[in-house]
Amino acid sequence: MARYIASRVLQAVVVVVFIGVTTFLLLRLSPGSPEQIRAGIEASPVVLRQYAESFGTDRSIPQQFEAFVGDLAHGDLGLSIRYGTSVGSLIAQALPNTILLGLCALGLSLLVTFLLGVRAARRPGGGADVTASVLAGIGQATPVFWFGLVLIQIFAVQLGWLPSGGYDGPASLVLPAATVAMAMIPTQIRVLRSSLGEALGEEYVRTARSFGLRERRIAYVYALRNALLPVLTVVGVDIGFLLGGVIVAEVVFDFPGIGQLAISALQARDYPLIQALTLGSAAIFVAVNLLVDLLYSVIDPRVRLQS
Amino acid sequence: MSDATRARSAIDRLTVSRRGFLHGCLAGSAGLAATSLLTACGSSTLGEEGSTSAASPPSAPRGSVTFGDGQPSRIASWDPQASFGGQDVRLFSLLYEPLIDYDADGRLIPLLAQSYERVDPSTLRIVLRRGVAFHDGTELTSRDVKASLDRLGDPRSEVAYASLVTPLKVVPRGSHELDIVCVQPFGGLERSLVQVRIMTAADIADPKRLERRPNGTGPFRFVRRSSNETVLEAFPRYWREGYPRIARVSYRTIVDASARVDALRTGAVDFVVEASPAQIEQFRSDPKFKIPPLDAYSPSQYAYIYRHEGAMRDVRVRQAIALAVDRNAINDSILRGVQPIAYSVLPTRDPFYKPMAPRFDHDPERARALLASAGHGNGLKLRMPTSTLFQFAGEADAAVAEYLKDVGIDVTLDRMDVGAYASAYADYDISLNAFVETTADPDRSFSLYRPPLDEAVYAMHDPRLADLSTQQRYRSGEARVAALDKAAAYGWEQQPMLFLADSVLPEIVAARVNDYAPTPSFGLTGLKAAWV
Repeated sequence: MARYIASRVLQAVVVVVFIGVTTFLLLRLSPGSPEQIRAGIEASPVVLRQYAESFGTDRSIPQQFEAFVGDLAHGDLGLSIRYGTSVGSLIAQALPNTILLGLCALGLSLLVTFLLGVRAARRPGGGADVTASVLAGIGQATPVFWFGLVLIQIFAVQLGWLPSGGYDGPASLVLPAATVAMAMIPTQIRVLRSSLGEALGEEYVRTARSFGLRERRIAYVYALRNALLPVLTVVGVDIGFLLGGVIVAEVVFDFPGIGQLAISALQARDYPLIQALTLGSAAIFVAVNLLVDLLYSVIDPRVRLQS
Repeated sequence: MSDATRARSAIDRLTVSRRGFLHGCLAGSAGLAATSLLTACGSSTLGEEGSTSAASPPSAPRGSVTFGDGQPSRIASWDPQASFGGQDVRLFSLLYEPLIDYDADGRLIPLLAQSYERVDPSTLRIVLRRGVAFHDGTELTSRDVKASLDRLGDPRSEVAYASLVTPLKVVPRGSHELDIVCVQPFGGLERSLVQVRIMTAADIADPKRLERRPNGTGPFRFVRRSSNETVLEAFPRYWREGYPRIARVSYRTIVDASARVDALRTGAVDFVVEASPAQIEQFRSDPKFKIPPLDAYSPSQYAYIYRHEGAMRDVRVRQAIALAVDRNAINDSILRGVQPIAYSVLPTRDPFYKPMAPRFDHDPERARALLASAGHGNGLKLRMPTSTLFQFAGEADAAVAEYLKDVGIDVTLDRMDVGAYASAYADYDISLNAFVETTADPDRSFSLYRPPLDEAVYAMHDPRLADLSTQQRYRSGEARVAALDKAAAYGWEQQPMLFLADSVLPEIVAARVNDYAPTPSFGLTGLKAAWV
């Protein structure tokens, strides 16, 4: 187990370093210069040069890379080009909001998935099954931004029940969390329904029934645990989706998280901020997937982790 | 079908964008769903902001307002003379003040100056208002004004705003009196000063102080700033009694255009800045919102800028492009006809605007003939970037490309994100931009055609236009009017850009905000008289 974990951590580090280097290079090679964006079209060459010097973009790419790695080694993510403050403090302001939104969305999607998925698996063709199918269909066919706009129009603009955007407390989380959750529910619900349906046909379930155990207990206590592994895999992948989906939702709902920060950083070619956000997202994704793999053996002791 | 009809129908097709279509579907589906619910509830919950206002202005600042802006501020330092960004200037206009400003009727008035007068064509004498405090408590004196203006007036100045007033120097005549002495008579000096915000001498000596906080004499002072919001509050020691009338101002970045509009409709923000032509049209007749008179704002124009290289150096090619593009059709459809078209290098709201002849109206036949005479009878290839920098840009760019194709100019449209677009103009033959005369003086427009901008930005080599653009600057009175007419006439003939139409970047304002009156000086100075 320890060897397996060490091997996976090493892989994770390699992946994150690869993403960091690729991001660094792609940013420098892609069109758009931070000094031109900052100074505007009417800036004189002198002003442009001043900005380039202050941003460090007047140096060669290898020199910039050396500075980037050196700062990173000291835990310094650098200064944001757009905001002029430390990248670490900007992320520290935005990240808790994004994590909160992501957790709410994930919690909501899992709640709906388990409520509907288990019932759908127990009674195929029943009301819950039909509802789950319709919901999954809508979720899969609807782009995140469009669903968000519909929710805003109905619940914020027309009914005035919930805020249309920003973050002023728990009410501000409802619509963006529902939007992101709606994009995750279809896969989760289909996988749970399928894996639980399969589990309910296993011999140990028949044995449990022959012992006179109640259907509810069989489904929720015995079958569900065995049906969880595929769902867990999907949730692991969904974490990656969350990072992307939350960005879209944050823009549509004007939610002050890392998605908003990423968009404005990209528009300004704010190299240090984009690099930090990309590295952070990659690290989170890799860490969550490692955690999911480790959880396999907890949920199902038959799974043995080997390097 | 004629060429013109084909081109017009191309525009008609283009005016229904993907986003517009989605919004239409959205509005339809949401409307259907919500109508039944609203009917059941028996009440409308759309913002009722208008009814919350008291009947008269308060004697002390009260309430708060929130702005929603699509572009994040570029401020990394609170130096008001170092950045031209629209968002930055709006914030600076609340925090700092100039010596002279415009009133809501577009007249120049003394602001930090108690009075001003020309003592000779090169000298402006200023008497400063007494009892004016900066936000750090320092009292305004001529020392601060000298530091602020000398910084820009030095011909070697590298500060962004230097092009507004250089070269000049300040000669103090006491603690509250000074002369601004220009090297040559400077006709637009008073108007240019409206964008020169006064800082303390100490801040200018050590600009790093401004990295932490702004320090002006403006009606609002800084409270805090995060990545998407800047919060200001009424400055209790503001020199003008009874102002400002609003206690707190929040300036938020809301990147998505529909999110901004939704925030306005739900009362989450009170102002949406830089409303698009489509939004102006949409909100104009809605009694829950106000749109200030468009002619109250700074003169400005949408124009396609050229890199004056290769074929674009030939005036016949530039004139052919002007004749090829049906500006009226684009303005009427894509720009919703909210602003007029200028037949000059100056926008129609410029105080010295006069329509020039010929008008370069849509004439594809003449355009083809001009291109042939320039040696491009067999076609010409141009490259144009397109992005969402302006909400209508995708449609306008595609329409211009269609018109040019119609006369044999093949335009390659490169789609890119806003960040890439903002620094791509030097790599393309033609690209859309907006030019604002932030001072409401034509010298701002003509600064584009003389050194250092002409060559550095547009690769333009037209010594005569550069000379005429400089001459109008160093004249005053009738002599300046004559010089301006001459420069405008020659500039229009040369067609250094494709002038599309006047632009305006107004605010859409919630009805609960009273007495908000913009002025021709770019910024939000009208907010100090507003109340809720």
